[in-house]
Amino acid sequence: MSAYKRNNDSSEVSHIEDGPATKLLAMEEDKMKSLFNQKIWDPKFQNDLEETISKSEPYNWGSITELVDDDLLRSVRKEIESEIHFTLKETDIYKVNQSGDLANLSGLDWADLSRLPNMYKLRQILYSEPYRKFIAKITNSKYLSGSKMDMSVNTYTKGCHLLTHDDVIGSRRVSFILYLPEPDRKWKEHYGGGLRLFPSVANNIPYTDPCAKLVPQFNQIAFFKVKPGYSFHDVEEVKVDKHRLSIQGWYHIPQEGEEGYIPGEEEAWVNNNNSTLSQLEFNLLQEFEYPKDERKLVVKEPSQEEQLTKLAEDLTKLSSEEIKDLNKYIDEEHLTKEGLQVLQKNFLENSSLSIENFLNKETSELLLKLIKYRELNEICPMTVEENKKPWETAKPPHKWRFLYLDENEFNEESQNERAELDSKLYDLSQFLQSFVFKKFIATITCLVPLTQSVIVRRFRPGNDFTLADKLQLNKNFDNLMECILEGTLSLSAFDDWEGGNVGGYQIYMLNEEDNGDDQAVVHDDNGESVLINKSASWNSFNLVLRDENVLEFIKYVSWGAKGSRWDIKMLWDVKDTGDDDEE
Amino acid sequence: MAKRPLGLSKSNKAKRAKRDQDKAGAGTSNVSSANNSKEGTPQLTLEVEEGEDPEDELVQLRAMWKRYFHEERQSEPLLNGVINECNGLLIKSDQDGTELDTEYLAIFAFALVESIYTEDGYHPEMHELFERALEVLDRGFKQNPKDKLLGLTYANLCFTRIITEYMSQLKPDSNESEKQWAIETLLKDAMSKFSIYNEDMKMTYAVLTELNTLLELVGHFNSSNAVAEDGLDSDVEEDVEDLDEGEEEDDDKIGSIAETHPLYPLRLRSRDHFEWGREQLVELYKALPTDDDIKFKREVATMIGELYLKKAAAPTRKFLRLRYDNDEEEEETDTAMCQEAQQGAIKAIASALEYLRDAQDPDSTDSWVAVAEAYIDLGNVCDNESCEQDNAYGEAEKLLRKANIAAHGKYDEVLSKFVQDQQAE
Repeated sequence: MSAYKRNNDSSEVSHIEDGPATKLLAMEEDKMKSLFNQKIWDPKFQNDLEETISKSEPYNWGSITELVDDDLLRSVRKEIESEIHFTLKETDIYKVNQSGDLANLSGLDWADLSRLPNMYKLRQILYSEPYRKFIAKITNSKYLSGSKMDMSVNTYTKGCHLLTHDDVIGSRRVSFILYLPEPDRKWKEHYGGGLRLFPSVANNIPYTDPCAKLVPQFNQIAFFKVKPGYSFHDVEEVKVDKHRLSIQGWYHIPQEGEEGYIPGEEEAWVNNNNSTLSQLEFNLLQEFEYPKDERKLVVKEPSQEEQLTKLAEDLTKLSSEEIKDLNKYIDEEHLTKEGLQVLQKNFLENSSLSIENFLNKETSELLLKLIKYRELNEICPMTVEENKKPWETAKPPHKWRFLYLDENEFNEESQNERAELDSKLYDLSQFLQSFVFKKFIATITCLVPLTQSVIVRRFRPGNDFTLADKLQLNKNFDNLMECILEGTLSLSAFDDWEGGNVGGYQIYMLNEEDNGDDQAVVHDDNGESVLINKSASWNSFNLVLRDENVLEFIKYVSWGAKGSRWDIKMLWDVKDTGDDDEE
Repeated sequence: MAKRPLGLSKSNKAKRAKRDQDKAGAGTSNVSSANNSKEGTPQLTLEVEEGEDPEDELVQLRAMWKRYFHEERQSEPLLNGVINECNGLLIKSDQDGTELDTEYLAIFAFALVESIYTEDGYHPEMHELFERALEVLDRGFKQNPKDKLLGLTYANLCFTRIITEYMSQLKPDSNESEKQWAIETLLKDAMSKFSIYNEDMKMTYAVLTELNTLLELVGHFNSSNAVAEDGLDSDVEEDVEDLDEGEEEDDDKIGSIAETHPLYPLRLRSRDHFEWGREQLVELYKALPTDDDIKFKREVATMIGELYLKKAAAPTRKFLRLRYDNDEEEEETDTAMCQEAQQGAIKAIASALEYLRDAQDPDSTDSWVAVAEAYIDLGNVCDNESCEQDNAYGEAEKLLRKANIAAHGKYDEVLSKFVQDQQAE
């Protein structure tokens, strides 16, 4: 799996994907056309819309209000409410209520038709020839398949969202979303749930913030041409207790036997899209990624490595001077011989460790005061434009988005100009990069850290996340373990993180790529793929020895969270000092 | 030399393999099976008050109850533990012919009532559980009719019973007079037996919260207006306006249920009942020790503030109607009534503000917004363009702006609507 190409569409699990057109009930063309708003058959309307779409930004997209017969859509809504059961599903990229029953609609029999006759009728007209030709014309999309129907029903309730993706899967040519929030009520912008479109800075690199947004209304359809590497969009989090019901669908490349079918066209399209997965392109894309995934070699001298190795083998080797230095930041209970023994034992047993009350009282209290002050009294910058140095925005947004402290901005001259919180976080980061801290790490893990990367991060409510990503092992040095030691010091004030409702939690889970579904599902049936689920919290330090088979992500922080998730993420490439007995 | 640490997924795999191996081995010998079952028994460590005998059965029961009620109220096993413990002690005392402490009996009855709320709704045998709890309480009242904890427990039983056993069965067209009488009697009995139990203020508060829930349910019975979960959402008001199309909501009007409906008397007197509940809460609040849990104090103060705002709602509506929608002919006779309504509303809102300010939490924007809302209510009932109105609206705007920054724009919509309204006036 690549960080940049994922089968990450929320509707993949439950959708209608019907077979031959012969299954359809015949509907007279006039009757079918009459079920649409008549304006769409007007050539002037079509031409105007075609022009609007061709000039639209950031890519070819458009919308039509009052698309279909109002009575029909109200009946569809009622059917959905009474016949379809929704299940809340949450992964790294979305949180959405997905329809359970609708997947069974493929291969409909008459009994099923009696349950969802209006839904069936709606699907029939949306995939009818005149309407497909209309969509093909206004989007300049050549021909669209009428036999390969692909629809799903989702409802976004408070807290639901779908993060940035480009919809490129298989033979999709045009994406559409028909909205069915409560009829007779205006869906207001501050409810959230908008369809947001992202411009691209380069192929497959969306810009951090969206440039266009559609606030959906009942019986409005939005659509866009699927353009690999460009058609990036997301669904803004729903912020109120309302249901944003929608039918999502795709028009595919014509299938054999259909008008416009070109042998090999679909295969070529799919192959071309898959080639964007290639490592070559992946490396090119890394140029646009910030902060850089760079773990610099910091233990360069053999004598330093030797010192760390000794500590990894014998925790009593930590000198009283070193303990004193560590105690400037770390609470003393973790620095006694007994404290160190407990930490080491836990780490060796579990390959992970969670240390509560990690920082000492003085540091913890000061940071808590400063972070709370910033959260409560200073406007939180939500866009790249609003953001100010020394903070930078992590990008691109189909991998992650958060603010991080740019340590290059700190030097002796600038130190006095910096806000107290930024300076204190910088100082803490420097401590975490110090040699004495590496000694502490070696002592409690029995591993020798040789490289390091330390980043201070702020995940803003309603904005930030990291998607599940595979481990990138360091190939630059020999004799490293095929694992990375990861540390996360969570510094999230406020108390609403437990339970996970507002996101912001950190997940370590098994990579189950081989089952064909590369979404990182948080709540799986057997509950065994999630290895660690750690809520954001105040002053807790997590250490994990992560191997290649483990994914990690920080769940999108809900707009409803009281404040940001703050943390410091640390990575070390390590050398092993233990014996060979893996049992 | 230390053991080599494994990567997380390998470590997890190894643990699972070991667990599976242990499971497979567990059935092969009686000894290991017995050991496993012993190891598997959850051990509960309870903290007892200083100076108390940890071997004393009542001390143990009290500790277990406190652990359940104050720390793990969702824990069914803990609640079942309390009930089982009580049952055993009751049987033992019957056999020994000894008298049980009333505190123990109250805990038993309270626990039985607690068990009526289950994860799936209400316990199918709730009637039997209520009757059993009543038997236990009767036994206690015989020993001490004025026992405060027993009285509190009895009140809780009645409030819960109205909600679960009676209201859950009612339909909009129900008209059983027997039920009407039973519900009224239960509420009356509950109020007469209720008293603040100083030994456990949180328990007292929980009972008053149950009453509040009951009164809210009565108020919303057969009503399409859902209670807004989100507090200050400008759209809740708008939506209600859209639905009612200008029809004035008035709690003097009991439009949606018939006089013969079992809830009619409760709804008719709901203002008095809310007032009674509020008075008890005020007493409780005054009795709280100054060094008590600040979070709890704020919770109580918030509830009192909200109840004062509820009290202000009717005179506010009356004032606004008389002041701004009045016919000229009626003007003279209404002046006094208008002033009276205005004074009533201002007094209640001022009281609400007193408590809501007490409840302000420097870390919770919701608590600041609650104060802002009360200031807006106050401004609405002050004379138009008066200094008092300007001050009230000014305070509200200041708080909303502050909350909006802290809550990353959560109140943008509310704030801009409020500012627009000010400018329009």
